[in-house]
Amino acid sequence: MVSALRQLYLMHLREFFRDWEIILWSVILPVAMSWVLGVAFVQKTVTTRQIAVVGDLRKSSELREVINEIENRNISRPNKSNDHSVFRFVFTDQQNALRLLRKGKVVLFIELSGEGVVRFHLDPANETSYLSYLILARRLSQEKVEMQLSPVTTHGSRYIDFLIPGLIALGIMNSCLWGIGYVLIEYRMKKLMRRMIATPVSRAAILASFFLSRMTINFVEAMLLFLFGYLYFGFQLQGDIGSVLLLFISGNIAFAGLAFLLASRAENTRTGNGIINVFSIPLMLASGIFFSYTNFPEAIQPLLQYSPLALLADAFRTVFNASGEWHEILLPAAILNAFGVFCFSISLRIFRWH
Amino acid sequence: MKLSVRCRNYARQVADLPRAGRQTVLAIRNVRKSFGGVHAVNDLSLEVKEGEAVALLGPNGAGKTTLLEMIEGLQAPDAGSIEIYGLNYAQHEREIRQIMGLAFQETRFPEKIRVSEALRLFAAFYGVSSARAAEILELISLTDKRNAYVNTLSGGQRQRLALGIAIIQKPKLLLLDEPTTGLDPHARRELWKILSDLRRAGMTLLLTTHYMEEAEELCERIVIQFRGKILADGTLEDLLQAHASHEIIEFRLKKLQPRQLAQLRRMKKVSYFNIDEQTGSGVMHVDDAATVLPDFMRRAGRHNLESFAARPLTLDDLFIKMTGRHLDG
Repeated sequence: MVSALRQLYLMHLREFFRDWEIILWSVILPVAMSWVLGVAFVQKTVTTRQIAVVGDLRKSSELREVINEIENRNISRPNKSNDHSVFRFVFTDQQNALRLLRKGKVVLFIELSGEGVVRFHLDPANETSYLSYLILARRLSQEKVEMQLSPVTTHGSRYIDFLIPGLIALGIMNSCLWGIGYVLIEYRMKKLMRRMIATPVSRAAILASFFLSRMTINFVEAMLLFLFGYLYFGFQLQGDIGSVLLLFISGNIAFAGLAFLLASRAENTRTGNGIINVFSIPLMLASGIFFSYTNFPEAIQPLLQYSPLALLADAFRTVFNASGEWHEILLPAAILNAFGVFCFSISLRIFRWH
Repeated sequence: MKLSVRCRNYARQVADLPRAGRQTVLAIRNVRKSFGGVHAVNDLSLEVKEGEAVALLGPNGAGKTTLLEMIEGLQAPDAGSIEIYGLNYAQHEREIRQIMGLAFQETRFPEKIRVSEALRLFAAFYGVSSARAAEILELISLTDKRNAYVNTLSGGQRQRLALGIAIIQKPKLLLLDEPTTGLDPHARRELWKILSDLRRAGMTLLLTTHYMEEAEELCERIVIQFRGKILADGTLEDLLQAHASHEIIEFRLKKLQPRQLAQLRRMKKVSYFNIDEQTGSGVMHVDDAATVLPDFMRRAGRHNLESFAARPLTLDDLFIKMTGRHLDG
């Protein structure tokens, strides 16, 4: 029994360590990824939380003092090494503050009313927002400032409104990477791809069939998610349907392109699994879908904003929650399309048909 | 029905023509292919005429599959040319694909696809009607399985489906890579029956196989490939005549002394002699068993003989003699 167990155990280890592709994709790259995400990006940096301030600061000297203090001293220059919280303030008008909140660019906004009352606008369901509110409120209560909490419940500004467009974008990415990438590798492994190209059918038709069928499935998935959000949370489309469709198709092109690229060479699905994970997990983490990418260091934030998933999620949010204008949609759509076409054209050069 | 009658008439016309007068379906000239210094196919030439059925035999590693894949246009030869009805892959890939039917050793379809759906898919690839797909179901006796998912099919049914797909566009040349490997004898017979019918309808056939019986049953022409080259090519009778004697004597001795072994090896009128010194069982190829027998009995010793049998030479014996290996070993 023991020797059988030992031999079986050894067999599994050998199986694993003798396949360099698996080692590469499932051991070395995840380690590299954790280094990139954990060490290179996070170690020496602090988490910045943006807060919008609306109204005339002269009306509340206490608040002005607290803001000055926060920006110049205590929290923004942490003297404890584990104090990574920094608030940064942007001064703007009410409308813009709401827009920033909807996009997840600020965690909450503070409104100064005429009587020196400080009103916090946030969705308490968002933990980051609520935590920021608690820290600020504690500090302001020392100054005996009169405070009010005004939960944001207008459609388009709640946490759920932030979440659903991101989930739709994430669904498109995952569905493309697994539904196209993984299945392509599976067809190659089963020799089905080889059998198909041994007929007069054009290769373009084979690849197009993957793309079109996946886009159809993604459409159904996205519709279900939207309907659920609409019926259960009152999630609404505030922008126009044309923009949503444009973004939907652009997202499909981007991630189908990536899927074809990732599936270009792999000969078995175990390798494929690793490759897809190595790309999809960082994209997901950097996308700002579950937590805002403003948590990442400022230096790389512009980069993250242009990662395909973040781009799609942000653009979806703009259309769904803030009736985004065409000029706000066209740039992300163009980048997504270019990314997809770029990936696809590389894929075609290196694609292993059998 | 009308079509199959026409096919049969055509087949008769083709069969009546002498081989030299028939059209060349496949012409392979001086083809080479190596993988990392190993010559899988080494300066090989082969011509197949219309209506011929050719069995490509060879031990594992003889380069059969590589050769077949080059004919199928899935690999490009390092040197030499391959033409199908005078067409080459560089210029006429689509035309060739239209007139060529093929089945690999194994193709796995997506699990939740029905038999009829798989056929309709490939019917569309070849631009034939879905009525033909129904006709194929009949031909491969899977009509009652037409709504079954392909992952529920038995090995034999799967192979029949692969064959059905291979012939869906009525190809002029059918290529099969070990069509019955791994099947039980019953399933193998069923597949042979379908292939025999296709042959009678005039289809040109090239198949690789490990089974002598399959080659003998389906093909009038046998090509033996070994180490990337063609070792023998001809009808079964030709090969047996040219390459070996007519009868085989198999025997088993109780005891085997070295002196006795030397005597046996010196026997006359024996074209091939081999004995396993451990077990005492041996084999001899002879022209005529009756004339060799008295001499053999004297040298082996009547009491020392445990078993003895004479039988006609088969392709299997020939294969072992030529390559030193069993066909399926």
